Amino acid sequence: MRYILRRTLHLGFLLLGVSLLSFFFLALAPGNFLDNLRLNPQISTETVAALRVQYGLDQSALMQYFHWLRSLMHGDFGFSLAYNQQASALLLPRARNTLLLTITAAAVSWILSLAVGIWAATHRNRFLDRVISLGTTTLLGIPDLLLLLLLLLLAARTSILPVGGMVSLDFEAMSFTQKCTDLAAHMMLPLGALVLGALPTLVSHIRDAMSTALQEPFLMAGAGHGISRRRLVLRYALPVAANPLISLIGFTVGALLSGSLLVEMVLGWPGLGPLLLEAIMSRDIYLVIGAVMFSSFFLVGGTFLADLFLYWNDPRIRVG
Amino acid sequence: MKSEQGDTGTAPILAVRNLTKIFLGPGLLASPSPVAALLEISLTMWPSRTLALVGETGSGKSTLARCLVRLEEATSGEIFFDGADFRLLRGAKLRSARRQIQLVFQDAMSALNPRFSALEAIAEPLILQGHSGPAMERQVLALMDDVGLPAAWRNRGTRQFSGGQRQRLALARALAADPQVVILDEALSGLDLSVQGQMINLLLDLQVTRRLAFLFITHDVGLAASIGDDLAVLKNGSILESSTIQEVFAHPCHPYTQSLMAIMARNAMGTFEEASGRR
Amino acid sequence: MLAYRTLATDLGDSTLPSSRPSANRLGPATLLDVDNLCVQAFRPGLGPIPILESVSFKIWPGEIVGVLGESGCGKTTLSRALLGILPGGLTVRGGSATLDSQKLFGMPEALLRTVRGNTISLIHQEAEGALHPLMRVRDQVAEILRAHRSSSYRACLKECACVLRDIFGENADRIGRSYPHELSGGQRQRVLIAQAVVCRPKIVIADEPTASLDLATQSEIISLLSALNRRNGMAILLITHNPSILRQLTQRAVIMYAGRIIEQGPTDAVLADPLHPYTQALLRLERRFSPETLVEKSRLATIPGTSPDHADLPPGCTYEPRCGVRMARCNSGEPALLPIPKERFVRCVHHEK
Repeated sequence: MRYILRRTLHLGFLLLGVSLLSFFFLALAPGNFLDNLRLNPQISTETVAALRVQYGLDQSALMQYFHWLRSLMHGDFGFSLAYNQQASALLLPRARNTLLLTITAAAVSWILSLAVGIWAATHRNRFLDRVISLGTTTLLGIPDLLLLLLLLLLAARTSILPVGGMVSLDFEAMSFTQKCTDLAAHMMLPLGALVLGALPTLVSHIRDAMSTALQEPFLMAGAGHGISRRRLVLRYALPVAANPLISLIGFTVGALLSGSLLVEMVLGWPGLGPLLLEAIMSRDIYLVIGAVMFSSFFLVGGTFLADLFLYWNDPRIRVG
Repeated sequence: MKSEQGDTGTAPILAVRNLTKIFLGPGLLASPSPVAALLEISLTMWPSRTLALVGETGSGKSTLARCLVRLEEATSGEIFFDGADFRLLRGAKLRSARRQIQLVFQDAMSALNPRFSALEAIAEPLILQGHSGPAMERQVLALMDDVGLPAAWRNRGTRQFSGGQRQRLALARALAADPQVVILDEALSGLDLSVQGQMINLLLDLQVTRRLAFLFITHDVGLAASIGDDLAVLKNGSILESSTIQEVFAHPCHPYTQSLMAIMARNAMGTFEEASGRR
Repeated sequence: MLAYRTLATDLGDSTLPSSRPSANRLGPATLLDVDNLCVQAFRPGLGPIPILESVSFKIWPGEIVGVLGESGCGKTTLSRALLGILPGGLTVRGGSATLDSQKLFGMPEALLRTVRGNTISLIHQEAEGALHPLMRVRDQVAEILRAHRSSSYRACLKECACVLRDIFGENADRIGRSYPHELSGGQRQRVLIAQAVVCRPKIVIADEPTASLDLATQSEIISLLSALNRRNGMAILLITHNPSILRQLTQRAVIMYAGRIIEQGPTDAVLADPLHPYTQALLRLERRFSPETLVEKSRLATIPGTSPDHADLPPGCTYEPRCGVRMARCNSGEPALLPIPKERFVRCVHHEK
């Protein structure tokens, strides 16, 4: 229990720190939202000045930060200057889409990597294992962008999968099953890109961790007692290999989140990525901060869950 | 003939008074549950004599060894080494005093860097003292000779040594610092009987040639009797009794000591010598 | 005073220590018959190195046989070979082992898995390494039962609760729920014993079960093994480097050196009247204490030299370089293991007729 409380406190402090730093960096970046307007000769300087006061841009960065923090307490993420609406109305659906993509990608890549990694560890140095090693190294060498473009090309040429976007135009008119299939089809490409990007690292780590676990003396002791190989791998070796791998979960979440930024932009998936890019370009401060906070929350939440998982898996941690 | 303690007017080399070590449970958001590993321990060691400390696992003997070399800080009490309070020393004085008390562990492998050769492992304390070059190498070879390791093995990796040989290596490393006191924490446990015998003989020889005082920590009363001049019995962090070894064997006071002696008697083999005498 | 005097003067006491059961072979047919077992290791660059050489002995049901030898003599390899869990690089080069009329070597893996832990099991030397750090004690024991029975996991847990109660007494429930890192050394050793006996095997190999344990715990473990032997009729192959453990528990003794058996016979006879020079030297290592030796520290008896390197064995008798009574004949070829009256065997030229 203490462990969970400690971790939650860490989470809170971390998010606070992130918000502070983001605000600070944004304030450091030259220019603000109204620069574009100022360049337009049709808008008078008085209007711009009035807008400045209205948006609170004349105050110091610190004051703006405190205002934002205060409204956050009320669940108000601020106001999007470019879209002229509440930031939350824009952020929430985008966040949901990114989360959907990232979680599915995480689940798929982990399940796939576990299967491949465990198999490779139990069949070390066989022919197929070497093929897998070669495959993962090659995948690791391909830059993300190249992978994305290749997938895009594949989709465009073969027209099996829709190229970009999240849903078809007539989404609302579909039945439930049709909606699901449509969504899944659209998700294939970005999912594929993310999974292929995460696979090499995961497979090699899992293979390593399992190989080490399989050499532990209690594995040999278990074999000496006549326990079946399958049971030994799954019930004896895997929990031990899980310790170093669980920390990898946190890392995967981070990697997938940053990867999703690129993937969403290239493939047109309506997530936080494209929104964030636009907001940064137009200095839409509250939107930027909001998007960053959401991403950080997902990241930290992922590591937090990983920590809980570790706590559950290893009783020795509960003592310390 | 070894004299009784303090007979000839020699001062003790190491005196421990009321040493206590309390471990607290985990902090932050938890009530600390204190564990007293050592409770008011008092011991005295004389130069060129061996104090054997007998205790079972969990009795606190390793904690005591660590507190004596200040790898851990005791909660209270005094450690008088060569007249000065060892616990109060700082900085350069502490460093030079630390060289005088060396510790040899049970599992030498955990104390020796697996990537070092024998030469490097033994030379490390010498290098820290500022020695170098061929003179230092000669010192290392002399040490290897002292502990019975062939000079030809100086470039062997530490991992290639057998259990008994590794303990010799650890001992040579401890002697490199030219100490006055050597603490052996279960250093001979787990070794074959013949190797134990060889190590005991080696320690006895080294005690004479180098005038060392040993604190020999063990759970094996037989081993303690082979090397100890004085014996102290440790249980649950307290010293139950402590005296010269003949005294403890002849008149064990505490029931725990008496049971130890009884078990040892029961396990001993009595028939071999008689049979060979008869032949 | 009493205990002390017993040490110094106990020479003619012939009463058996209470823990050792008297010899009782439960049946005429042998349970384990090891015949001419040879195991070799393959070291890169050095070629095959013999680890075990023509090891032969028999164990009858219900017997307790001890294997005495120092590190490097191959006793752990023997236990692993019998269970078929030799580490990579070691192979059985020749010989056979028959357990309950089944040949152990050459048995298909699936069949071997039903024998391991079920008919023959092993109590490992190091309790810390042999126990799974993340599983509770009762689960670790129940898993073994489950591997050999077709009953549900629940039923296995219940049965292993009985075994734990046998071995741990009232603390059984608490210990069953604990993890290995929460237990003391002696308790962990008992868990290993529980794992080995849960399927009621016919023979248990105990590899140094009392190493690194303090005297009181050692006695408890030995009593436990003795009780299990008496109650379940379970044969025990006890591996140790300590002659006093041999005396307390075993009925027959096998002395090993450099991968070979150099002496065999009833324990009392071997310990009272050792024939092979190595056995004599080994027994001479036992420390005797008297008022004089406690004050004036005399040097302990040792066996000169170190245990032999199997890659570099002498041409004749393997013990010859360290032997106190060596002769010219000892170099000219290894002596055979010859029978001596009263069920004893010795491998030494001094006893060749």
